[in-house]
Amino acid sequence: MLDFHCVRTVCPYCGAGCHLLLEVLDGKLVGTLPCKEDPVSDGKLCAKGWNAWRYVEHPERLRTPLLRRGSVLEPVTWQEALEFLAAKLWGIREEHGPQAIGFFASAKCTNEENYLIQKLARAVMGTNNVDHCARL
Amino acid sequence: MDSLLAAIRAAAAEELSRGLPLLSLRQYPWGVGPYLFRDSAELGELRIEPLYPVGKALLSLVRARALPVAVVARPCEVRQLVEMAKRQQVQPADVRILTFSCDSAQAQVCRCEEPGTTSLGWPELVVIGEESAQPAAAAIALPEDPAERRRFWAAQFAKCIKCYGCRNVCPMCFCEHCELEDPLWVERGKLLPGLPMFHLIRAMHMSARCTACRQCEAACPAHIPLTALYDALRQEVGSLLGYRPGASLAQRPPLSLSLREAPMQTGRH
Ligand code: SF4
Ligand code: SF4
Ligand code: SF4
Repeated sequence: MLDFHCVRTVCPYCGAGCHLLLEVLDGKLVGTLPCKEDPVSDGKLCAKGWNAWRYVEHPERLRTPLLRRGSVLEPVTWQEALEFLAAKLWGIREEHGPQAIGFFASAKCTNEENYLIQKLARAVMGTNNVDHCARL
Repeated sequence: MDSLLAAIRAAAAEELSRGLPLLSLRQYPWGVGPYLFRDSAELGELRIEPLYPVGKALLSLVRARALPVAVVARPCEVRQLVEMAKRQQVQPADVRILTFSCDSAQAQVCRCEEPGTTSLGWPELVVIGEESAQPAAAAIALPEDPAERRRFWAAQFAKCIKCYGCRNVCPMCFCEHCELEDPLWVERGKLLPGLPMFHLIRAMHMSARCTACRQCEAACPAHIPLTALYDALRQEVGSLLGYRPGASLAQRPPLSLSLREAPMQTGRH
């Protein structure tokens, strides 16, 4: 017998953070509904919110970090990707100084994640170059 | 309200004990949403508001062949099931309906002319509770003068952000290929031009299908009184062609069943 239930979540697309319901049928997403009890969206969504569920199981969704080696993008582990990035960033900082680096935060992240990225920028890398996608 | 809910839960328990899963609304830990009940121990969490489009969820179950099923449906939703059945989306024998009359306060909110239950020829339909509601007037105040009214609607349509929410939330919008996604009529990536084909097409398609559940209007971020338009067209269809959406399973729709509305496979598997 089938299982059908809803899950309340927050739209990942912008900083407004409208709540939405995901419709789950036997473990698969089959649709979405606006959340009528959400004071932010008042039970309404924009085109992005209505379609946010579609990328979850999209075949082209990236599921692992890719590292460009020559002309090919190779799947690598998070450990390898983060170590590569850290070494690159640190190398740039050593060579050109902290002002050569900028950090770009996102409205799609939580407040806590945005706090962490500015902390990484200021306390670890030593730069105040922190900006945000909503200013683009 | 409490006694009505208790009666609905008792009727729902009966369906579950007969082995039929039951589609309705549930109080989850985070709020209310559609749910397929299978365990009578959960029926204390059955809710009937806020109003979510149960017919929409039913179509998901039909597509997954999760049939037969019982469904708790308000009168406007029962009429939707009738229209769905005529359009080969669902077979009446696959769905047992538990319905109840909305109350007068709800009828006011929905501007509902038909808050009471009727049998409509559905084979298995259980009516719960009393017929208690006073119908409300559907009409909203619109400018009388045609030129002024045209300006009114032009200004309303100009607010549209093309979220497609009105179509997405509508239980009667089940076409496999929606005309609103055909670039011939509705240009991609642009807001609506002066001649709002988007709205005219949807109004036309709703003229013999819409049962005035008002879900589209509630979902419209631009606060466009969409159903005032659909109501007006439906009244024309009613007076000219004698057709009322959802009034009877036997009455054939007056317009073509639709342009590209492919029949769905609704058999049991
Ligand atoms: S009121 Fe809106 S959502 Fe409900 S049936 Fe009519 S067009 Fe569809
Ligand atoms: S073609 Fe018309 S009736 Fe069909 S889904 Fe699109 S708007 Fe709705
Ligand atoms: S819900 Fe409102 S804003 Fe969205 S497409 Fe429909 S009419 Fe336009």
